[in-house]
Amino acid sequence: MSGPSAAAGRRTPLVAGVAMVAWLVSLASLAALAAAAGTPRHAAAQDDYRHLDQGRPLRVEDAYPIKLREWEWELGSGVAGLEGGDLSWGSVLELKTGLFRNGQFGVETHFSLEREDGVSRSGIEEVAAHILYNLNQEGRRSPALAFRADLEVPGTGDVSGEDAQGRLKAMLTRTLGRTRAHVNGGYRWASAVDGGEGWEVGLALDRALGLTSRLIAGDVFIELPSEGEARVWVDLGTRIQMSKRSVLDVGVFARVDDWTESVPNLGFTVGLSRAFGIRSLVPLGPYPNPRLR
Amino acid sequence: MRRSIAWAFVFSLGAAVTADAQIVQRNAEYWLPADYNHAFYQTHQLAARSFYAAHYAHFIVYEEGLAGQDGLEARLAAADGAIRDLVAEPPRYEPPIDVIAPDWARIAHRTASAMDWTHHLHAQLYDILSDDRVQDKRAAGEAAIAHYLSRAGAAFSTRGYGHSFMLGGGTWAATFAERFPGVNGILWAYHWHHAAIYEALMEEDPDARSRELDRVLRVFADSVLVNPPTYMPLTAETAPKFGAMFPAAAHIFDNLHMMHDVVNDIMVAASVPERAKGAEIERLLQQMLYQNQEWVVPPEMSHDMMMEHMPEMPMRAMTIPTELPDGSWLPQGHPDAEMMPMMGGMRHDGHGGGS
Repeated sequence: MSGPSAAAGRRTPLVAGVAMVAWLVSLASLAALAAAAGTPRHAAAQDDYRHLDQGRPLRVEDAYPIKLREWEWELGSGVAGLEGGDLSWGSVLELKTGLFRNGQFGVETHFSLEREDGVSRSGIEEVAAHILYNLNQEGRRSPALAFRADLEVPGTGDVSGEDAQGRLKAMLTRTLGRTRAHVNGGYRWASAVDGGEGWEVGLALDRALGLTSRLIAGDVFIELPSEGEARVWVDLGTRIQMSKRSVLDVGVFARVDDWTESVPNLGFTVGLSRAFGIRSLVPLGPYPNPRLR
Repeated sequence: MRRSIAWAFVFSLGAAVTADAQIVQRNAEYWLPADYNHAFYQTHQLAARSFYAAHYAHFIVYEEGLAGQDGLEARLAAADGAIRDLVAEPPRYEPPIDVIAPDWARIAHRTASAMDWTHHLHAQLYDILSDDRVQDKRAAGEAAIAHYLSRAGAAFSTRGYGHSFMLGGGTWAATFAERFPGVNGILWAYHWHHAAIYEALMEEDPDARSRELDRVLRVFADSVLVNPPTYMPLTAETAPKFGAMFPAAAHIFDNLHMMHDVVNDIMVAASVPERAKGAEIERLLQQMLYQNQEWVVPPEMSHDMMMEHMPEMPMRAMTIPTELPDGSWLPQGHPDAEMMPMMGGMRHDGHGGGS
């Protein structure tokens, strides 16, 4: 999260326009999520809990996109402690789709609220879009491999980022029985005020809990800025299939390189995702009426 | 340190790309969006969840087979107990294939994907028949079948291949049924179960439908599972009304079930080395796919072959696809379809081989 943004005054009309669209998309998304949650007939897609989406609840994600022509809403929230007992709250709303075979495209909006020394700051921290492409399914020896590109533009309000940011990363996933290992590595371009550019690497493990449609997962994620000390994060969490189409995730995270008694650097996160399809976007040819031979 | 980590990651990417000779992509696709999706689960949850033990049974056999011949009998005996526990207490949702059989899913990903895709068609037809808001169930079902067939590399053939590949597909034929009759009996009982559920859902009155579903589940638990079929039952044989409405689907599901049996045989056959199992499964899959049905000629089945492996197969299971005067047709196994020619070699798709 960036500092107070006088940047709003410097923002270009394009960025301001994107931020406005993000607000509208976010409101529509919340309304759709609320409506979907109240529709009991829609509920089920039994492997969704196995998809380690970035931030839900780990920083590391797996190397698989969602299915072709699948759509998914994700709403996540997290709260973390700040120095002096103050709190920082962040929320993300994402819409993604299997736009092409073995690939996905997603847009997300990050909201933030901070209360520090009795002063509250809030707004849209950033609006982001990503594209992910999976090169291969796991083979006898090879792990699954995928690449992802992210572009983030500053949002609006007191907590907005200062400048546009970008990230390129590769992801590997390897199954070891009911446990899967994931490695992410990439490079992030960002201005110094937004955290600086540098390498990012992460290692995660997840394990399915029998046939209960639940998993537990944990990761270590390291940011290596080109200037300054490495930042090390540890995340632990669970993903639970709540219905045939909905998954709940719950996690706890900590920044372990900067742990002191006065700043515990502990946080909690919770999220909900829901898969759906849009019939009008699915090409459907005529019934071939197969004959005997 | 930063440079070391970067190079380590680049090295691991290179190793990943070159580890397997052949790159296979997942090509996962979302099923046809429709209001009826999940209606079966929502309306008849007990019946819907009764499938999940079969799902587990199929894939745990494959995984155990891949683990080798040493102790295979003991491992499948343990699996038998676990399957029966799941029959009594099924999981809440259908478990993903790669949770049950993670190693097998890696060596036979295309087959796992085709089976998963066909299970979705199974589910959508159950949903359509369960949802009374669907006015024209035939049209809705044919739309779901059309969508299913559009994914060429994952859709099973609409031809009636019957038992031909499982009896004549390779030297491994019938290995599993003869070596592990207990678990095999559960699987054949479930093939009856799947079709019997369709036939129950063909009842137009919702109350009669629920009563018929309850009866099917009782018969399955009390009778079919206790004395399982001695051959793989065909869909239209157990579900003639369903088979007449969706003859192509009846053949698709028979081919899916036969592919399940073929994979059982290959996975437990000591004659097929572990490293060759994936390729042999792929060879059989290619012969049973919709995209290849114009050129595939199924193996001929001799009378001796049937007598050796399925001596108790009744005559009603030996009917062939039959065109009716109005242009519609009945699938193989339907009680009103024509009998298979019994002279010389036989092919289940209706081509009499002659001798």
